[in-house]
Amino acid sequence: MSVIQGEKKKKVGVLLLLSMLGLLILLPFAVTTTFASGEEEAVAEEGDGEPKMGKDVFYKEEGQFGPISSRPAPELVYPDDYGTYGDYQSRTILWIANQQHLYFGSFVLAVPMFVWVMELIGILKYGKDPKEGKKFDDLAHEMMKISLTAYSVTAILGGILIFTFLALYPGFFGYLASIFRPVMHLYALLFILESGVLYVYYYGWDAFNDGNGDWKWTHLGLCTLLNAVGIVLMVMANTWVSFMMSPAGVDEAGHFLGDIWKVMHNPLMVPIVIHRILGNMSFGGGVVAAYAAFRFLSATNQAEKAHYDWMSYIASFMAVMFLIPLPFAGYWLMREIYGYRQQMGITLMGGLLAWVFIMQATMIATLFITVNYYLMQAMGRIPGSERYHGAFKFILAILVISTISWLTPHTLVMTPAELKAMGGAQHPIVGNYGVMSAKNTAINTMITTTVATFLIYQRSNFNLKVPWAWKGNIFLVCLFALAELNILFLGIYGYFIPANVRIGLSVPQVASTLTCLFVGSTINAKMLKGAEPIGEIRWGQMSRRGAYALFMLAVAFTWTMAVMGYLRSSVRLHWHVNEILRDNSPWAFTNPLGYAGNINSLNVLLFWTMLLFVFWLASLYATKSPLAREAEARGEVVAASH
Amino acid sequence: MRRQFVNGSVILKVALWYCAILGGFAGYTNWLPQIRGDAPEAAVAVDVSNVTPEMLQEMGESIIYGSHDPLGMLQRGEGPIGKGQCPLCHRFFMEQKADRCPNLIALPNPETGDEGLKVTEEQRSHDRVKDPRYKEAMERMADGEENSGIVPHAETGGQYLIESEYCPNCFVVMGFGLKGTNDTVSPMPIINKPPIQLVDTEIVAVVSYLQMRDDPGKFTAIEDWEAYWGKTLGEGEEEIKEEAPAAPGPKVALGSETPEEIVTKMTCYACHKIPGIEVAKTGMVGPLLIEGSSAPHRIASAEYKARVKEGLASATTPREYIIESIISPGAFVVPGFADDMLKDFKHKFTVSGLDVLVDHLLAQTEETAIAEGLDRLPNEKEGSLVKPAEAKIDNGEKTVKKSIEEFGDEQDAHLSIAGLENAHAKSFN
Amino acid sequence: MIKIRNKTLFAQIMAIILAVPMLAWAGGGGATGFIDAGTFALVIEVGLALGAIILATVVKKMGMPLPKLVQAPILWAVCYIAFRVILQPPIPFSLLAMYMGVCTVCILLYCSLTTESWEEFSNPIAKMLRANSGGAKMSRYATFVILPGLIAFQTYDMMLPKFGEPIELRTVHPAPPASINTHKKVINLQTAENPFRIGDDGNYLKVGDESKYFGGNAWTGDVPVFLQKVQEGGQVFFGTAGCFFCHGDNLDGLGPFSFAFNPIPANFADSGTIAQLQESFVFWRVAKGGPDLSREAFPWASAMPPWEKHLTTPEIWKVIIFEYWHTGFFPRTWG
Repeated sequence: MSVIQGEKKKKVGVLLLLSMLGLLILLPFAVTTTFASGEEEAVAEEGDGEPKMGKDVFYKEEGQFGPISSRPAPELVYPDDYGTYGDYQSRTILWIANQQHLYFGSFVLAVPMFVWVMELIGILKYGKDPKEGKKFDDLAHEMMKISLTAYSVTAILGGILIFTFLALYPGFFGYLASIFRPVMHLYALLFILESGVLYVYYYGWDAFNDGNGDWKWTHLGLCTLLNAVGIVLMVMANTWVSFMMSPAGVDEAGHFLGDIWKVMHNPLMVPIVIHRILGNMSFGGGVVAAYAAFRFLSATNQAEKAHYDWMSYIASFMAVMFLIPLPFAGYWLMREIYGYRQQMGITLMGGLLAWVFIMQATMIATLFITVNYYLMQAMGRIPGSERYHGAFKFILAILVISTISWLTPHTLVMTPAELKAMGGAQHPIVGNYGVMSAKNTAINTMITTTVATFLIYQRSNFNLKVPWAWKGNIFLVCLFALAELNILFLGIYGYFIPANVRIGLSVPQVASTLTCLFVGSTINAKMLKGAEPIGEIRWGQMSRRGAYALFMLAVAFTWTMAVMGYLRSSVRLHWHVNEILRDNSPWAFTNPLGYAGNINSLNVLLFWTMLLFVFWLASLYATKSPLAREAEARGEVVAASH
Repeated sequence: MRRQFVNGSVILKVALWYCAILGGFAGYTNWLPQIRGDAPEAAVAVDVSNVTPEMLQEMGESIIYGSHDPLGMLQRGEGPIGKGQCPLCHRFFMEQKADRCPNLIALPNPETGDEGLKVTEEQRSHDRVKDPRYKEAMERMADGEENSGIVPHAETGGQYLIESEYCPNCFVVMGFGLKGTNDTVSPMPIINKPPIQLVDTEIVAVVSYLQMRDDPGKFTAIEDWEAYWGKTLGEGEEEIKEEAPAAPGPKVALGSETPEEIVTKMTCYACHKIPGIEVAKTGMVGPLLIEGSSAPHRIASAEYKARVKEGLASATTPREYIIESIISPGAFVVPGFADDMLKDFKHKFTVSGLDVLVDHLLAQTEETAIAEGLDRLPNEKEGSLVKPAEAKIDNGEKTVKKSIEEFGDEQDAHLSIAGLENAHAKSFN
Repeated sequence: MIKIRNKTLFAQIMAIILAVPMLAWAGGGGATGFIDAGTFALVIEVGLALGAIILATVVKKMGMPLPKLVQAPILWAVCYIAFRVILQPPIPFSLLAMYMGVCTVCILLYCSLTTESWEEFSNPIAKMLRANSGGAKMSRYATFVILPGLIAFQTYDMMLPKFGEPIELRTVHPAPPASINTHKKVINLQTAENPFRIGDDGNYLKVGDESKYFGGNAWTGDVPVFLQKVQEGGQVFFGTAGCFFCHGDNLDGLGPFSFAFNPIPANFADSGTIAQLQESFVFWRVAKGGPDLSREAFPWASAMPPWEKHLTTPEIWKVIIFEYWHTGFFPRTWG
């Protein structure tokens, strides 16, 4: 009886807690609304009655005009409006500060999303098999533990970033702050909420854990809230960045026109947000996989090895799942950029920054090849996979051919003698690989191939038992062959039709790829029903090369983020805020790719070194004291220390 | 019992592995072609009244050529082309090949009957305004020129030069218009609009360069600009908060200073007597500076006209005369004096500082000199301000003798020509 | 013993059979006139790939699989020959290096795909580095002589003064300005449309719809409006402006003057030029030519004159229509 009463009390307590959190969410909104209204009044007073109207740089027709509600964008002067540290490029210092904060920020935002999925799986599996359910739950808990350390690092780096902004770019930051004032405060206030939820969620893990009962669901609810706040935070920070690329809600002189939503909802905001969320998820998965790989490599006993082998598989699976739609989201973003300013698009794809896209292609190709390689290595622990070893080299060959055609630049670097020998700036054969049709075909082929490898991975352990297995196999082979044929055909057909129609072709190409993904994996799953395992999966027996491949995956991910960040930032050329606030510092030029590559590598190095420290901390925490181990050896139960 | 810390070798291996990856990526990016995208040059924000005419001239030079050694570049086979891109079409040097637009070194042009070389571009600009075709253009474009909206209304050569940059179509030199337009449309872009987009001060600098190159004493670009547009240069732009700081280095006369301070700083008093200036009561090397009275006489004098004819001097107003005398002392040397004045004042005056001094000098007349008991030197042709009867004859005689001994007339002419040549050579380089 | 020798002989013959066409091709510098270079290269490539697979299978079936350590360099060499010799016309070094880089990495991956193949590949190397036998020692010594030697040669080669023209990196399609000023009119390059894309109904002809006019004869008497404009554009191309002197009768960039230019004039028949561009972009290039290339188009190596000085705006639009019609490409649009 008393137990039930205790339960009730607990429930009431949770409800109270949740409603308090709900109120907290409302608080910043209330505060900002008050601020915002106060501001408008002030403007009205100053401008004796009717405020002057300004013409929006982006919004047309409806909402074209708005009351001028701030000072114009300042004409920045070097050195007055810029700070320096000796001869170092201020921009590079800021770049590094920004990138580090972004890395940790995306990591701590991405991990809760995984944890949410893992915890959900754990709860759902708990009913059937509590042991399996607990396995997922522990995994989620362990991920959260890494995230918690990273969370404080993020906060520190955020502070450093703000100070760097204030110290080195006071003029620019002042302008941005004058426009985003209410949003920036809301942003900061939301962090209180984020932290609160995070701590309750993490420290309440065991307290709320009743397998798959109401408490556990409530706990999952907390995680949902955590993710919701996290995404809102990311969207806010994104609006600043997209505003710098494609300002809206201000007039030509940079006057704020009174509607903060228009400023936030600028032309590139939505595609950038979508691209970032997907990228975040994939990145988070990659980092967790790298963590698992690290623990796998440093494991001292078989059980630990097996656990981390399994964890790395789960995490990398998540990473790949979000990696697959990422190119499509990027493609959409690119279209939006062209729609916003053709000039910007050409600077990116054909002009000044075109070589960065070759670098990006290299990175994406690296990612996909690494994923395939990892899956092949991972099959080393699966009895029965030997049947597929022969196919590996063909998969690799397809990937190589796709990579080569994807890497072929449109503008070739050559000596005049080579130019003459080739008979023109375009090569009659490889020149065809330099255009969008070929590149779309290549990336779709790579994705389809990766899906195929994954299906092979899934079934490698089993002897199929469903009676229609042979039909299913034929169907699967036909599905992939037809999809690939379709992709190839559309790719070639693309050379014979106008570009506006050609852009449309990417839709059926992507559709083929996605059909393979969804139909293929569904059929595969159905075929695996009741299948007979050939042997127990030897978790922990993945080759060390597989673990290193996971590191490669994660590092390549980080590097891709860095290079794309450089690209996104560089496309503004000599503007702080595109066409509104000019960069008048001596660093307004666009750095060459090599310099960017060096800084990116430095950034990634810093990040991974810090991360390695975080990993080490986590492993330190997990290490039991000698006393506890002795006790365990004696068979006593030691209460969990957390 | 060994504590189960993660063993160091794994950390090391992992670190080595990602360092290798990062090195590979960075190496690859460095191997790919490197393109640095430079930001277009920002407009030079200068307060024209706080720079010396020479600085303005240099600014113009670098806008035109992108270098301070255009001739050297040409000889090395490079193209001196600056932000203004002028030398792409205009010819500035004999060594240069550009004939799309009128040459700016005054080569002969058979179509217009220009004699070439004997006249400078600066002089020619004055003729343009008097050209009947200019009058015709004024009438034709009475409602404003199509692209710029400007009605041609230049009155002086300087104004003409300024107008041509804001409105190339306002007057098209014969033979240089777009084909089929009967020389009514110029191929030249409007300079204050994209793609060249010079700002007002930069255009003034370019005109200053042209004027001072052809005539070292001629410095009217700012006045011309202001007369042409009927407003102050820099008006409408944000006010510059403070005067140019008194930077270390050579002393510079600033607009914020009093005439007294400028004269002290520039040590004018060492040679000149100037009414109204406390320190300048004893100078015996240069003429008494009562330009309110002297300047008009000097311009009208036969000697001055001779120099004008030679193309060495060009002042038409007392104000221009004083500026010329400070900026280019060799242009005209007052009869009876040697060309001894320092030639570096064009480095040392800001435009506003020059104005202060010129204003002061213009205000000085025979009366102010008499009031302070100052007198001309005996070797000044105009003669003493004091009536002979009242003059202290002894003193006078001594001075005359001394000065004649020291500065012989023959020497005089020789020196001044050498000085002029120097000045010209300098402005060309 | 004899059996094995026979097998080896057979393998050698196979290799020679495969190598002959390659060498013939390399020696002859391309089968000009017989079949165009691209097709020939493709045929050879596909043949080579099939041949290699057959060869590998045959050799394997004969019970003498090549160890991975031998396979790897052979594969590498095959890739190299394919890209360096068979692919004609020769690709520039930068591209070759890129391709070979990918191939090298992937061959390494291939050798380490499974644990067995990795051991097969790495054991001999480990043995070479560790074993205490005479052979291993000798190969170690050899390695430590050859490796520094190679590096030394590389350094020497790098330092050796080269007499080739320096590499010129041109941005072929630089970003255009937002608008240009031609013939007293401001043309917004973002939105400008060709006024002569006129369909039979007199309305604007959408990009893509002109395909129905492709292949027809524009020079017969009674033709649709669109083809009339094509005809007028052709007159500009071959008459008024004389574009063909450089860009060629077939718009392939091989006009009689083209060989004097470096870089050579744009080849409109190539899918990488006008087919990639908006009509307004082409208009900008025709109207403003080389002198108006933007900053990033360094080194502004273009002999294209600013045609706005000689052609009217309608003439420029018409010649653009003609160029697309003649090559059968469509301008790019973003709609």
